[in-house]
Amino acid sequence: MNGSPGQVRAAATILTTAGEIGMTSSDAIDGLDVETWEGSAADGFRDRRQKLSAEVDHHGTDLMRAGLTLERYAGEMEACDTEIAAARTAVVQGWDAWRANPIDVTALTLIAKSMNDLSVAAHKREQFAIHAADQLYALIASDSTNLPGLTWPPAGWPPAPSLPTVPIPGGLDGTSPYDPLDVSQGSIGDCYLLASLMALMQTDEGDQLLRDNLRWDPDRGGYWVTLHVDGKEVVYFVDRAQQNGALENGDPGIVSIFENAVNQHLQFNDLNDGGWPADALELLTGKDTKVYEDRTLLGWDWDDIRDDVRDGDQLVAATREGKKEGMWPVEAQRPGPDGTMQTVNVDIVGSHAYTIVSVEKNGDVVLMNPWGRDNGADGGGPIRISEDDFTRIFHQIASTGDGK
Amino acid sequence: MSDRIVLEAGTQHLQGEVRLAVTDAGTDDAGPYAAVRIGSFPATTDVRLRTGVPHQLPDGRMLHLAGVGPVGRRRPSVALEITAAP
Repeated sequence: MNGSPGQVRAAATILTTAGEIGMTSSDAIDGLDVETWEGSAADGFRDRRQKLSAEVDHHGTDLMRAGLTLERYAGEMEACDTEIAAARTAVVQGWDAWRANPIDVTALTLIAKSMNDLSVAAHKREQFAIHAADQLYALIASDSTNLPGLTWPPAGWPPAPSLPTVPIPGGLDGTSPYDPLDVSQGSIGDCYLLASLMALMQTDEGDQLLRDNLRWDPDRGGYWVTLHVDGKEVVYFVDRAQQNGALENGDPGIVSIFENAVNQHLQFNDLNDGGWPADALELLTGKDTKVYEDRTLLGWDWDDIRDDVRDGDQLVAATREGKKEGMWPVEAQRPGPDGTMQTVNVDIVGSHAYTIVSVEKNGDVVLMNPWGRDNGADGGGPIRISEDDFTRIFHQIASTGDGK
Repeated sequence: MSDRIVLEAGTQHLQGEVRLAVTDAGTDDAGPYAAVRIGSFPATTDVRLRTGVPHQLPDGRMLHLAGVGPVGRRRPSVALEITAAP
């Protein structure tokens, strides 16, 4: 396949066709009429029929999911390739114009912008590949604990997806406001999701959106949770929280409910193996997400980012890999016990997601770590770092805004 | 009696009263390692944990690195085991 959208799509078609056959076969097995057959042999047959049908349906569904993943990936690659081709053309046009007139500032600007577009599109393509691979990995690993190289944790340890769950209290879809300061990430690698949830919890509109996507079902003792997948609403039922997962004030809460719903959607390995805030925000809000990147010398589009913050949009930033044992030591400011700002030395966690609280006029950025209160990196709560440190440490911002 | 936990790099875990965060993990020249931050800000201790070389937690229990893995994932995770004080 080697990155060819056409070949990826062809593979997707094979998988979805096989998935359809599997699911149809499962229906056919279910339809085997043995109602008049009685006795222990008949009971044994019915039992085996049921198990076989479930197994075939399960494999069919996985094949279908794998096919749809590749189908989506092929579309994403095509979109990126179009952007890359347009950027390349613009670069050539810019060079031609510059060669014709070496003092043509517009040509130089076009070259710089097109180079940036090229870099962003190439990076996006790479991210889509990683995401597709994660989803395929999750499909394989969730069922194939004995595959060499995929067996984790060590033999005899309980696999993460089978970790026990804990009850969730009812009525969390009520009217009391959600507070991002209450959130603390647990042992699950889903900072991208929790930082996005915290970004939503910061505003009344975000609070309401979360509430609108939750419905407590007293009869079943759980919540119906709406996520948004490729523009469509997908509903999951949640009545338990992952043990060692996200908490609010030390107990399962609203974030635990969404964490469980996303766990059902992505499957545990994909949820747990990190991810992109843009994907999480889209899953939660159903809105397209704008991604700002600082991959070239052009820097961040601070004016657009500030506009998004001012408009009450949700922004989540992702850090680069940490330089010192996975961390970025940095000088930050935070309110002290007397309310005045104090300078403290904290660590920004590498390969991690942070909620953006605000962007100050002088360029300082106020952030919150989803690790929450008493965490070992910054102690929790908002911390303010300089624009220079932000640029050095962060490489991407996902925003529900449009930069206008 | 021991507690076994698996932590993704970049996540934390409250083990009784002790807060653990895995900030980095992988394999270097000396073998598998996990960079673990113990405690709450600002009273923290950083440890580069190795298999076979346990570290004593503030409450006396011993923290062991059981393994780092698996290969091929976007980020490493570590298997940690906590045993009673010796």
